[in-house]
Amino acid sequence: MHFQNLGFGLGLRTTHYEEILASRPCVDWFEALSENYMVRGGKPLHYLERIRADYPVVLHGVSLSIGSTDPLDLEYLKALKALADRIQPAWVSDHLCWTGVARQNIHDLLPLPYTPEAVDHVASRIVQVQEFLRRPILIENVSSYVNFSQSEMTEWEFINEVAKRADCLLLLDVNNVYVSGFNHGFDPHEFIDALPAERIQQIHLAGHSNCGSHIIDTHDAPVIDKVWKLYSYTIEALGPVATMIERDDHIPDLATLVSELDQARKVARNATRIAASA
Amino acid sequence: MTSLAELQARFQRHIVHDDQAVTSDISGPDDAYRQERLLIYYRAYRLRLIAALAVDYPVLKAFVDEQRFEELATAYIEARPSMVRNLRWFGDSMSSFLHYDPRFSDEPILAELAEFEWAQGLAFDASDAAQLGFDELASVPAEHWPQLHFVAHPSLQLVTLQWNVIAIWHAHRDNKTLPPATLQEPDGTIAVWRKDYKTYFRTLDRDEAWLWRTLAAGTAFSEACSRFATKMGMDEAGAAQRAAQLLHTWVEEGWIQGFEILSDD
Ligand SMILES: [Fe+2]
Repeated sequence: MHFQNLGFGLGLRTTHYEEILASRPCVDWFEALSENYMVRGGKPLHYLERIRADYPVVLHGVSLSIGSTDPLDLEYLKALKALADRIQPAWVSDHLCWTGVARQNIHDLLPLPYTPEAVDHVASRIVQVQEFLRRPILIENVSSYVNFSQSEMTEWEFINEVAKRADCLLLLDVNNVYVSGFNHGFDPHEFIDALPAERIQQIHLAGHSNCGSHIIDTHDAPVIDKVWKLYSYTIEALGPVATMIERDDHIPDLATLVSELDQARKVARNATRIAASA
Repeated sequence: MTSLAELQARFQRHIVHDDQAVTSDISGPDDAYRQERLLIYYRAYRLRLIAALAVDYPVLKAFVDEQRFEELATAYIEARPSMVRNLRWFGDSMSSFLHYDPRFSDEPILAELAEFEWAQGLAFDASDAAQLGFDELASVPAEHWPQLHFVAHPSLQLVTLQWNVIAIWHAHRDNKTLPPATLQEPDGTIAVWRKDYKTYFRTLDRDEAWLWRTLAAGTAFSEACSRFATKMGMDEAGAAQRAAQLLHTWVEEGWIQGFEILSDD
């Protein structure tokens, strides 16, 4: 069920469209935010199609709300499928979270309680989405700031259960593991060791804001050293996995992001070497 | 309701209405800790939506200043909770909100600024469509001109402004001090549209606005021309000449997607 390893990618951002087309940067693929292109026409779609002609693209959504107890939004799924038909992405992903109930959208990636009830609920919805889109989807672990007292298992046990039951792929956000580990006091290595390696199709790296007592996942800064170390640990354990760097705020010029991506290449290369010699 | 549904409803009531009932669902050493963590979601909700509105309405934000924009955006978030999947459409009813809400309705320029900025966003990602070229227009045989109906480009939006919104917009673009709100006499019709993936706008002449609206409403070209003559008190030849000149401008600017030749019966 695995797709190919695409290598090292960047998030596709409006401010870089022209430069990408003009300079053909050394980026193996781009991740496009699905919702930005679920429009009728205009510049974003135009550029996405032109960039798609030269690079593999994956679609990453924030509004699937797979964990919500509201019914699945058929209109959203139709629009997502139409976009996927048009762009032919290497794969499609969204988050293991909910974004609102009672038809309201909080526009945030809200945490789930880790209960058997939530496993049943989320897994059955992933199955429905995969059937509708006629493709497996990748589900990403989110950063969280609270744990629910109802939880009966750890986050990694929850992810394992959901992935197995839904037979879906995973997008492992290494920064989110670090952030949630800090916020909830677990060892991020334990999280990574426990995941089903064969399902991890993509990795996210990002920066965050440390507020002292907790860390907020802001995607507005370079990847920190401890996250690079955790990434290295992950690649040692998993072998090469398609990796991309997310930056949603304070977006620097393309060259800065490309050099941060080179850093990821270097870390991954060393990690693969360490794993081979072990 | 299932326990998951109930928990999600409580969590959302905390984020939206500051209802503390969900506190006991959160693990942690004490309530202070639980509330501190919940507050992260409560704040992030407002910050994210305010930031999205600031992207949609940069000139409105500059006009009212940072602090009042935050109040205005917060009031909007309370009044019109998001029901849209895509954050892109959240600010959709800002203009009508500012027009009707008593806290803002005594400053009618705010609703007009919002309407104008939103129209630019609509033009930006309207459907792609062809833009009629002169060759195509020239190829229409003379006998078909009476039945010619024009189809507007989907990006084209018309906005009627009574206030000096355009002057404020230009001052903002040029990093100049924004002028105070002033009423303009008479009001103006502004067209906003997209060509070659760029968004444009300009003020229409009064006769131009009348003729464009008449054609866009589905009136055949020759019929519109003769009504145009009556309306503007011109002779038929003068009206036809002016209409041809306007048509030339609109084709050049990409306002027209194409035409249909329909018999009017
Ligand atoms: Fe991520």
